[in-house]
Amino acid sequence: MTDSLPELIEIRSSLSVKVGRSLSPHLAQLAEQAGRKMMTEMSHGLEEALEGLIAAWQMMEGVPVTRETSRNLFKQALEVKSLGGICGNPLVTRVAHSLCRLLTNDKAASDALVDAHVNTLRALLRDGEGEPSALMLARELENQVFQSLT
Amino acid sequence: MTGGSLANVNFLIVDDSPHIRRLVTTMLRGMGAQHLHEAKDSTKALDLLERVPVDVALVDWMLDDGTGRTGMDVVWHLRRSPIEQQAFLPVIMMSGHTERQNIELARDTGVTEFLAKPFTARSLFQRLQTLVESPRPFVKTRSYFGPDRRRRSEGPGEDGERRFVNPRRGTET
Repeated sequence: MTDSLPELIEIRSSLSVKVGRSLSPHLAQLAEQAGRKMMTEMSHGLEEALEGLIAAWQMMEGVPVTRETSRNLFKQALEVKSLGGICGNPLVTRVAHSLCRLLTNDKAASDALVDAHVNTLRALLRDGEGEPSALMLARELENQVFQSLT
Repeated sequence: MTGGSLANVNFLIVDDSPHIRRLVTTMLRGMGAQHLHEAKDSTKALDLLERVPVDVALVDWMLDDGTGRTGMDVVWHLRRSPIEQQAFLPVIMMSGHTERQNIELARDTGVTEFLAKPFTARSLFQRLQTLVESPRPFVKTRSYFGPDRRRRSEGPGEDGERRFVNPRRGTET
């Protein structure tokens, strides 16, 4: 009768053999230190990712949308979202996340709304996130995406 | 300092973003890891898995090598591998796809832990800590093979079924 039951398999992985039963908590601090040293490099990466997003969006102008072009745009938006958070640009991450949500629904993703996200991201990286209007703009885009998806 | 080190652990980092690969390898090196392998797509990842020993894989979901294969295909392949070390390999899925249905899909494909992008050094450490300190047993059913999708403290699975325990002492993956 056990054939029909889920079988639970206890394993001893090579990871536990090599590390033991616990990981030194000190390693978290070392990882953070290493990550902080990468910030300048990651900021350049964020700029490149935004350029990639703009290029992907420009490639879609005036031509039929294909699976490949829309996937490329989505991937670039994900990259901006990831690097924005890593680089300490929370509004960039919010707007890029909003764009990702929008792009998951082809019918909701109007050109104007995608355009607004791309332009906002460009402005956030150019002018910084300190302006009160930046937060308002991010909220407005999130709200519009929410409305377009419901 | 108490606790083990990562010095002898073999890592595979799979991400098509060179920035994310560099960040992850830098953080892991910062934690003392010395054996790091990188792949930018699923084809290279699967090739590396055949050639080098890997103890932990960190795999991005949205890989792009022009074949349409994603990081999830890497996990799918691993969990069906006849090679025990691959079938039981701990996999951390890295993704900005953080909607609930995506996390459930990752779980149902056999991902061990999920690391949402953007991530911090501490969240990366915490996923590794979970792998080491709270390793999941594996479950084999007619429709699923992979890490137990319940935590030990939880009751019967969503299907209400209990598990038949088959301890495999000494099995190393």
